[in-house]
Amino acid sequence: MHHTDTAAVDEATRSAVLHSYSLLDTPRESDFDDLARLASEICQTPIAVVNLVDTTRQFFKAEIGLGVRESPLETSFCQHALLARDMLIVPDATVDPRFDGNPLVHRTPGLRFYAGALLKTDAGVPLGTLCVLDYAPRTLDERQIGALQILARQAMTQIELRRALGDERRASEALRASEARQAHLVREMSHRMKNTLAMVQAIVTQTLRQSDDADAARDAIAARLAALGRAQDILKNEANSTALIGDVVETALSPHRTGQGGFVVDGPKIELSAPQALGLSLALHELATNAAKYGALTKDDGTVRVVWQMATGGLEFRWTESGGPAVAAPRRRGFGTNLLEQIVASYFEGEAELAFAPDGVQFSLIAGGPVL
Amino acid sequence: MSEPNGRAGFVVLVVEDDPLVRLDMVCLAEDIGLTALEAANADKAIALLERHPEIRVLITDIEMPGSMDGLKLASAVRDRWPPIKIIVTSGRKGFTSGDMPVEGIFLPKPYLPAAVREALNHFASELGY
Repeated sequence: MHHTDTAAVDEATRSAVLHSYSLLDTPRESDFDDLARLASEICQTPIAVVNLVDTTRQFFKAEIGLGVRESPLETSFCQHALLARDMLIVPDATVDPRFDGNPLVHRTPGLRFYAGALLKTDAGVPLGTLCVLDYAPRTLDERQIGALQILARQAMTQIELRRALGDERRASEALRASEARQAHLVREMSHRMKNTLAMVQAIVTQTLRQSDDADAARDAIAARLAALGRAQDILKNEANSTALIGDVVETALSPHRTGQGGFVVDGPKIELSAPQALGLSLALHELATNAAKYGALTKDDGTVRVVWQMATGGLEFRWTESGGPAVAAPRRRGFGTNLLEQIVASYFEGEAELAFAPDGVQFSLIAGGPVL
Repeated sequence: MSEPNGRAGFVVLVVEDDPLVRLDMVCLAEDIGLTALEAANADKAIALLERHPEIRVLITDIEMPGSMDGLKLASAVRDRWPPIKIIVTSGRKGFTSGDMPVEGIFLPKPYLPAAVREALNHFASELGY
């Protein structure tokens, strides 16, 4: 790892790797300042820099003796160092053709000496240098060169360490966020389940209080809870679940499709909120049960038309029976009637009407508020 | 200080967004001889409170659509109609009577009908009905 070959990567790839460390334009940090100071003292130069070289500029993570945090690439020494294997030493830039016309060399401040050790990733991608500069031509001895390379590796270790800590921080932040989402979901599910239980309780007590036959009440409760259960099945398993009205209708009617008579179902695709879907399911269950016992579904040529549309005021839903026996209003008003006349309308903030017309039961629901 | 029309003069306002549960609550109050008004959300509840000074008890769910939830409604009622007794009900996990923002009774959902009756009877007798 100490002498990884410099990887031959194009500038775009190298720049992408550099950016992945999220170090460009970050504030000074004492860890890097210390390394620059040490390089300057060991090499006895007035200038030392931890330099990250991007495609059009270089950013100085740490600098001694420069007083700026970045400079354009045209006048850069380090861009030449990136082409080297580990190290570039320029004893006197004024006689080096690579620096012909470089104003930093030939005008102020008159830089002459440069030595840069590469900052390389484990894969050998050069990100920049730890370099020292002087205004006079000179050289470094073997110990100084060795020390500069060690300091460069230390700088690279600091860079890698920051990325690892950043990755870990991001990972633990993601974990915390996911745990928070899960806790929220558990709370939401528990809350929804309790609301459903409150609904079930209301169905049970309402059925019992409006029935004087215990067996009939037991059957009615079981059938209503089964209808509620089927409706729950089609709700998407999300916090804000919805259901398509066509699915709600099909699911609610499915237990009644085996008998005599038939359904004509027609309407556009409309999304309902979870409570609306549950309310409409319960209403359809009451209508279909009644039709199968006393209405159109007791005759071969009996028909139930179930149609809906979006009118200007909102959803309009109609249930119309025909071809069944003559219809008379029920002797007593039970929970089923209550459900159809009042409760389902409340779910849609609208009006519902149940009519026992001579040629068949008619039910209409006109939503007053927005569906969903 | 019993009212001329007895317990029926003791009016309960039921605030609950689920129509089935709301109906059940209304029946619970009526079964013990009280009169119930109902609202599907806090805004409708405030409108009823403004029109019906005879309301003695507010019984409200916490989670409801609209501008206010049941806890905000309870606080608003405590500010504007201090004599009104408050019952809060919710299926919210971990919520206890200690989390109530105002004095009142908290009943977890699904509520026991007997607990609702008991709370209503408690307030009714406290107020002389």
